[in-house]
Amino acid sequence: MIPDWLAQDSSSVPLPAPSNWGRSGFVEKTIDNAAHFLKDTMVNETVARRNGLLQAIDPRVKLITVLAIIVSVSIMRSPIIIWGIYGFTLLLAVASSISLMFFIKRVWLFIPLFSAFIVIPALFNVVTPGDPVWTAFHLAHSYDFGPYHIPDTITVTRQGVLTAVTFIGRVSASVSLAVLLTLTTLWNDLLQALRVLKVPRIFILILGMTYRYIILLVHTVYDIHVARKSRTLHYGPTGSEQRWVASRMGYLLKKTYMISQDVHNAMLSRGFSGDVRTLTPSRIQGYDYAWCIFVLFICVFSIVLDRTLVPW
Amino acid sequence: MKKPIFDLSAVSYRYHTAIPAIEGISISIQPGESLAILGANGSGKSTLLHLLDGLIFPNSGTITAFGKILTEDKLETEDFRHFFRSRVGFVFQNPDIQLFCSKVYDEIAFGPLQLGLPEREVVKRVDDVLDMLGISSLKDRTPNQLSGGEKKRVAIASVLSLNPMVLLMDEPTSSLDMRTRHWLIVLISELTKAGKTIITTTHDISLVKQISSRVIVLGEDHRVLADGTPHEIISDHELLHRANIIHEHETDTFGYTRKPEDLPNEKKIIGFPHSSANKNE
Ligand SMILES: Nc1ncnc2c1ncn2[C@@H]1O[C@H](COP(=O)(O)OP(=O)(O)OP(=O)(O)O)[C@@H](O)[C@H]1O
Ligand SMILES: [Mg+2]
Repeated sequence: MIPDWLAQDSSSVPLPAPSNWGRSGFVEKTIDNAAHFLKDTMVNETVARRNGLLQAIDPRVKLITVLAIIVSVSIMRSPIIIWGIYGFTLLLAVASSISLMFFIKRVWLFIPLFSAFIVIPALFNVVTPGDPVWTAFHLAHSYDFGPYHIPDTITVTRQGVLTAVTFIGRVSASVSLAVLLTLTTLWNDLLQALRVLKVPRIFILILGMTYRYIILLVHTVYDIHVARKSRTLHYGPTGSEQRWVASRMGYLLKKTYMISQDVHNAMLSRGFSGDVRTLTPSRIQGYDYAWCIFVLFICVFSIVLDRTLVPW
Repeated sequence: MKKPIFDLSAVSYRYHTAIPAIEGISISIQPGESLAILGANGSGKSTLLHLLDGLIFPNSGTITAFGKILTEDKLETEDFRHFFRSRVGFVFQNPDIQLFCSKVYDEIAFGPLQLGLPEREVVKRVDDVLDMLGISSLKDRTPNQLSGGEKKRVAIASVLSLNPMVLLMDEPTSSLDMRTRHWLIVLISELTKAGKTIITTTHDISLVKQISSRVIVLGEDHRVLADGTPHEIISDHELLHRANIIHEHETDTFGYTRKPEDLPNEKKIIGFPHSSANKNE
């Protein structure tokens, strides 16, 4: 019934040379990264599901108050106050059962990217003139390019350091606040909270669907990859792997298009008519009001303190 | 005789006007009927349900639903759309298509909300359905975090919350475990008792007796091969074989009594209970 070759014992297949073992190609790494990203979003959700200070606050209230603190930070001038706010975010993280190490790592991963190009030049008297703190090097003479003046001694200035410290503080406080918001809120609740900023319902529905189907597609890619891996005996040259990826991408695009049509049908079938209706979100409670008052106090107090420390 | 809910006369449908999926089908479906559409892969079962749900429209022939001819224009009018969508619910074959909201709870609330039910009613329905299907613990999950069978259950829940009088279900028992499958069979018979019209597709003959009082067999030429009671259909082996639903040697429709030595027919499928592919890892 079955062909002869199928009935044969496959243990007669010779073992390949060891150099081919365990080599993972470019595709493999990329897809592993995608899978890692997926896992990461799951981690996000687990934090949002814990019991903690920020998790208990209504997402809309949380969104507005976090934005209020970020705006306050942006108008502050005193590095002491700004770093104070950063310290405050660390306290919030602890109160929301987020591991401090995890939180700090997550925030500081972004900051060098954001600030390196702005902060390093700002340290020097070329950009920020002022009292020298440390002399970097001497030039033969000073230069003038139109409005720009380059002095003959390049120094790090006290004002430059202050600017840099203020800037980094502002960025880290703001990023921390944004990370706190996203870590402690379920993605879906955060989307719904956008309603308070007058984002239209249909837009929120589409955002939610996009997120849902991106993850579905990543799963699909992963499944295709695993299916191929289980049939791969050894990896070919990178070129062939790339061709394979390209062909799969074409397939995925087609699949995306088909999914979008089918999903539209599924929405029509359940009465969708272009105008989405959603449940009114739950009431804002006493706890939320208390949090609002607390945040308002923090903002006003720190701005007043900031203006007394740096009164210009 | 009551007025039929659906009345199809000489309906044909081709995808991209070239790939035939349904050919000259004329049937009528009475209220309260439980109808199973039986057919091999690709015979046009899903297409037929899409036609009945007014998602695609015949290339030739007409479909009458609730006494009105179903057309794209008619379904664009607010009144008829509301009338039709609140009465007909469709559980898609692929739950990933059906579950487009980002949370199970919202998914089940979507239908009743679009039909403009008052919120208190919507919340009650969602809670009841979650309870009935034993999926309350999943209500805050996103569909991406569900298993295949759980997705199927949520898909069924999201349609039941509409309380449709006509329920179209495309392969409802696929990817369900035995217990959930049994539960679904019980649910379908209870819904039938409550007077709902149930139209299911399947290629699983052991199911049709349990969930239907009438069976339509679609052939591989996309036409109706037979229309009768489950008993008549299941006992007609020649017919089932012609529709490619059973194979010659499957005498017992509930068990697979093939013997390896009498498998000369090349059309037969050889089942490998444990695929060796995943052992290579
Ligand atoms: N979107 C599409 N584009 C083109 N052809 C299609 C499309 N969907 C289905 N077909 C074709 O139409 C025919 C009927 O398909 P249909 O999905 O209705 O079959 P089915 O009976 O539901 O099969 P299954 O048991 O596999 O679900 C098949 O030949 C199929 O290849
Ligand atoms: Mg189908």
